[in-house]
Amino acid sequence: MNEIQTSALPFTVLGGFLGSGKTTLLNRLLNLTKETRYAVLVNDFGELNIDERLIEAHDGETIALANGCMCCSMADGFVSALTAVMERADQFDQMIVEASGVSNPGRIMDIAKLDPGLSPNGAIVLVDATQFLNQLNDSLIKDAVLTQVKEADILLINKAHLTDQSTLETIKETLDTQNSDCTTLINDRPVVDPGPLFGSIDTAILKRRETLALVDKKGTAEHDHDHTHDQFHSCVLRQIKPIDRSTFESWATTLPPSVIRGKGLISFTESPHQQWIWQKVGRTYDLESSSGASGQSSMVVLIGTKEMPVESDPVIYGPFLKQ
Amino acid sequence: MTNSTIIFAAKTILTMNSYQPVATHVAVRDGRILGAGSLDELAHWGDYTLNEIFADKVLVPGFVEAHCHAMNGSAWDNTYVGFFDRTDPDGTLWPGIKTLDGVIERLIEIERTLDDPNQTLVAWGFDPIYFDDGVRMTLEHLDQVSRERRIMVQHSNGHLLNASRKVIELAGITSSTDVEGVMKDDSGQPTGELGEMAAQFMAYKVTDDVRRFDGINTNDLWTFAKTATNVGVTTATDLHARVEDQNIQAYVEATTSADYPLRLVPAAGALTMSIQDGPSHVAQLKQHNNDKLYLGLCKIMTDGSIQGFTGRLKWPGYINGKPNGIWNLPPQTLTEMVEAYHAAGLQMHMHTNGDEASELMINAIEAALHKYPRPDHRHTLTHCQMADEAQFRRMAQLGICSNLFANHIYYWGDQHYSLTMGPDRATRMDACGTAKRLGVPYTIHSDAPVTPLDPLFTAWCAVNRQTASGRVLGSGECIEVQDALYAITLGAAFTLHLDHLVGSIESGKFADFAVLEDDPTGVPAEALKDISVWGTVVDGIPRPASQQNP
Repeated sequence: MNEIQTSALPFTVLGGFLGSGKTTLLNRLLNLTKETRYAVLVNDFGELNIDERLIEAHDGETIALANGCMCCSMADGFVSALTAVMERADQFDQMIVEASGVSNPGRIMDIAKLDPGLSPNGAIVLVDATQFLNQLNDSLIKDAVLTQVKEADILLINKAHLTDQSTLETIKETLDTQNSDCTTLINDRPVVDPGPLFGSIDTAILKRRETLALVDKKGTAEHDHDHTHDQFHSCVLRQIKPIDRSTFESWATTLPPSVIRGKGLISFTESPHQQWIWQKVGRTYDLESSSGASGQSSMVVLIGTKEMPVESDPVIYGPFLKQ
Repeated sequence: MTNSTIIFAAKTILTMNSYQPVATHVAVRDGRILGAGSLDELAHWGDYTLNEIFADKVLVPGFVEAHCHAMNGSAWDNTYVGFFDRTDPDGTLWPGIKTLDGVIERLIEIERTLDDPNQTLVAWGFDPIYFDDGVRMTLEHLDQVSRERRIMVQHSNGHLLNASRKVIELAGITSSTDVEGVMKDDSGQPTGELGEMAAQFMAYKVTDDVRRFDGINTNDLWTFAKTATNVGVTTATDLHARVEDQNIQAYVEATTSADYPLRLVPAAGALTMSIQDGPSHVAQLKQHNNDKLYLGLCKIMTDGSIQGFTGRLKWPGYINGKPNGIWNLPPQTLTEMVEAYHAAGLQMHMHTNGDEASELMINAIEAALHKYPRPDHRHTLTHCQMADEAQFRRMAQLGICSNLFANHIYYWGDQHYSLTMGPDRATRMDACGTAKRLGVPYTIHSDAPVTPLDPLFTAWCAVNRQTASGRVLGSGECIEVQDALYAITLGAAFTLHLDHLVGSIESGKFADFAVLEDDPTGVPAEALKDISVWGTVVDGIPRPASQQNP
């Protein structure tokens, strides 16, 4: 997504109670990323199982990886870790904060809302399918677990394959009562590559998809399957003429819940030479004017689950060119 | 090694040593106590020099403060604007400011003395909770001080601050800022009052000339020692130390100076280390120890504070209906941490404000003891403000000590009565009487700089249990003057595993004394806090307080 990057560093909070799988997810992310350079603030290096071959340098509270990523321990406190990353923000594409098992992800995300150097990229909260209902019966931790659920933009029910269907249904209902504004995903096996969950799609894939779209205008689900990961699909939508703002907004608000992220640069008919950055996480989105960009064309990237409709579906392409 | 003996004569010496509770003379050799008694008795040690500078003073064991922080010293780099009187390390009394206008006046005075327009003015200790009219500080108030200067007024609770218009502008905070902790007025404009981490982070980011608390240096430790000497303290903890090399170096450098007048007990903050590496790291720190440095203690943070509504309470919770407080780590992780440090043979002081936090730690220690039986561990619940009788009974059975936050009764007792606990449970806060009755070893503390370092004042709180408004909060928990004196000497030393070295005036111990102008057992209990402190004796050397040379 290089073309539509802004100078602010996308800031994602990864929350979830102890044992929900945050560290495992981060391990996968750091080991698999190819083009996206993540700066990750972690609670404890000891738990991170980073491939030794990937470690380039280990200096006190930071570990630099050969793939351009960096891990920074929060042992010295959150603010000092954050400051350390912000000092070299230009070296990274994304910042992720692994919240401690009891923190409120919303309060951490407030930093990105305030700091112009950061742009909120959603709070992803993991729910441990095998423990969640027990946690709600434990008065010591119930409130912390529910606060995390309430503050999530994307809820990922983890370890779903280790529990039965009726438990899963109860969990889903509970989550929906607590937070009906977020996207809830069910993870029934280890996440293959969590990159798309954080809004990252390798640029190479984007470019290849662009070419594909020219060759095969049908853009079927099979194509998605070939070129993204089997748990997440993505699609690129374009429009060469300015788009009517209200048409765009009604499209954006009616996107199905299977679309978990979206990001794009939009040109509206009301001010055709100004472009807007649109960003969607879970069920909420943001539109802000882009100071750098100008032009009449628009482009968005959508990332969704495997249930996301194909891009020839009008629900998906909306005001954009039909693929 | 010299054999020269000095015998100090005093009006009275309270030894805290049961076989000789009162004496008139104490003999010192090589920085240690030979014995106490009459001059005739002590003459048996051979030749001596008689020192009569304390002939009209009272000597007691040097006070031991088991919960304070060495950063207490650096707070005075900034302007104090608190409600209560406070004395700085140089012995200057800063009268408490009773109105918001008064605070603004003091800030205006300080602003006039600043030559560099780019210097941030930082004030601390502000607490509008005590103002009669409940008025809050706003941007307009700070405009009277300066519209151009960056000003930060830190509240005494450590969780809030007021920033000036310049800071708010630089931080990009406006009416459209929608994050928790940015207080707004009725018209939706930010008032400059900032709570929560994010809002404060932004304010600190734009005041980059302000020193962050990023560890301790030797200067801080000297200022800290000065404050300690002024109030008779000769052994003090730094009860949440960071154990990086530079900090350890500062401790070593200060304590190896013969002039340094304080024994330091830094407690390593366990939450700044991984559970895997922390215990062995802390154990290794002991190699740096000397007669004035005692590394090896660990601090575990569990919950928040009661007046900030972040302490973890058991049912029925806060009386005003606020939701339960926060854990610093998942309870399960805290339990694992206790087991790991206990298994490594280390001693822990656990911060527990609410009764649910105390319960979690009592359970964790009990479980660790089943797995790794260990006599005389002296793990200590510090603050332990809400513990109920059943918890104290378990603590007694399990050998757990308590360090009760007696100063809270005075500073926040009225708020606990009306806002946090309610009249019933507020009376059981910091229950020294129960600890004594049920046989839980206990001491009392200031948590300086949260409240001022001053053990005689802390003792006064435990004896009188009087709030700032004059209400007696739970007279059943009051203790005797003698008990309170024990708590701030041997009682505290016991919780630090140092009672064989300090805490009483007894043959073989360090010659550490607090030098008082009056006998604490000879004045009315209400006057305990008003006794003047001449200074201290550490290693047999007199150390006058700053107030002796104003």
